[in-house]
Amino acid sequence: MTFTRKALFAGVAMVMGLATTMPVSASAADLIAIITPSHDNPFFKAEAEGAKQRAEELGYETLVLVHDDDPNKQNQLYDTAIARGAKAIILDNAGAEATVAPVRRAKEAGIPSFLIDREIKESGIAVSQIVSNNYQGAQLGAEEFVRQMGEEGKYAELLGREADTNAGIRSSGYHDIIDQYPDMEMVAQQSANWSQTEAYEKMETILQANPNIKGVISGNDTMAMGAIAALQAAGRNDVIVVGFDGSNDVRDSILEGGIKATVLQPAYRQAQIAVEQADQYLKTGSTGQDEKQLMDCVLITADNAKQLETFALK
Amino acid sequence: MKRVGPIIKLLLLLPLVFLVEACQLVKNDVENDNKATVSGSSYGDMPALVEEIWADRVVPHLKSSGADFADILAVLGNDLDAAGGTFGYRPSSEGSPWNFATRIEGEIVAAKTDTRAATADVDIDGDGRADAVLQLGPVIRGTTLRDVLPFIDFTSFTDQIEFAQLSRALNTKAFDTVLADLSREGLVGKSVTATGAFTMRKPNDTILITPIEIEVMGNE
Repeated sequence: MTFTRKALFAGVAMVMGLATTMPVSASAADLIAIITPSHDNPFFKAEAEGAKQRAEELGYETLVLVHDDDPNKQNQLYDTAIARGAKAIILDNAGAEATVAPVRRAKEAGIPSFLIDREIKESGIAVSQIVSNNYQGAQLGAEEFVRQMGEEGKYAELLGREADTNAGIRSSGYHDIIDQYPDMEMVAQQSANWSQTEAYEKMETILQANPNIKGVISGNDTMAMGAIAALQAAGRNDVIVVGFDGSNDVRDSILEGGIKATVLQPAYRQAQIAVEQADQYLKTGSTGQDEKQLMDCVLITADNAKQLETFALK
Repeated sequence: MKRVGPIIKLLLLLPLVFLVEACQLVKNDVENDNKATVSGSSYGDMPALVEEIWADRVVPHLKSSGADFADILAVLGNDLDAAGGTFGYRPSSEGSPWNFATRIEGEIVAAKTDTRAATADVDIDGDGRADAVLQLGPVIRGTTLRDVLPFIDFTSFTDQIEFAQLSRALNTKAFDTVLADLSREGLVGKSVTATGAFTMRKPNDTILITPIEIEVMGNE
């Protein structure tokens, strides 16, 4: 019955206002490691930059690394961060299951991890897991998609990488809205692994098999960019495309009348918050927040696209 | 209606202990029943969890903490954070919207029933203009019924997928319990009372209430 004890402890700790603290003095030389997927996707670049800038403002040195969505490489980077004596690790991880072990290893070495963007399968080993509210965001995107489709018609869905929880949650958010409209008919659903080139190829194939398609809903912006390029190459400027992330590329496409909508994840601010919580944790022994935190997403259409810059609304 | 003061907040923490336990028990029950989902992981049975907490926790919480909508609206007009601080609930982390439990009474001045996301506009002060919109479903938008409950905590759930399934199960329960049998004919002009919840992200957002109890006068 360990869960009961844990639950009771959690209840008591909350009532006590988390009174336990273990102050650690932060000197200017303290190092924060920032580990994300490849910066080829501007989303991850924005995260890394947001974290780096905030950490340096707070007086830390930074070590910025990329794991390229390879769990083995992520393991090695964790060892590097531990060996370099990092005081905290900011991580956008390489897999919900595979990341549990390195985060635990760092915790045992006294180095707390602060996760952004993607969750891991266990709680209690990272100090914070700050993620975009992908379900809320996906529902926003789906509602706008359904509205622009006039609640009816054939459409295709491009899915993200299956090992990533965010691919599943966005698809589930889309369908929790779309499937409740009986006249919306999904004629194709394929993974393009978050990739623009793969999405371009998949879109060409889907279009050949379903020339009467009216819309495409995509799990992220890079795939939406691939889809719109394939559609435009085929002269199909009438197809409604909706993405997810809020990249500058999609913003520009929206303003040119290409893609119709996307959903902004506050990636830049999210990375900054992770650093702020790391700083507070190092100084006071507590972030003052729940471990798992959701940040709202914002619908971006032609109405507000102009305000969008590097994953933040001006 | 009552403010949710510090003492009440303390009392609200007590059910957390039991809920976390209940949630874990549900999870354990289905651990070997590997349900296929998009991500291929196994999850707890959220509809079963909702069945367990609906009548004992969800409905009583909304009824006891729900402020009169007119009182919320009076403060909301000027300052969302002030209204949230007095009447609302949200997790303390940045980027979380305010959630409000409420009881509303008024007249239906417009109804949109030709869509799956059916709604009724409610005027509470007789000026003929809608002050809030009641969701009638079957498409129930948002996660307000989940997010308004202070004893539901994201950290206690496996991931966003399971947390979303919980919200979906709560919305389905609300629809099945009070909205499925509600007549959609001739709603305009009728008096309505409802208890429910809504989430506010920006001060000028439409107030979209998900009801857990609703009564339309003269409507069978």
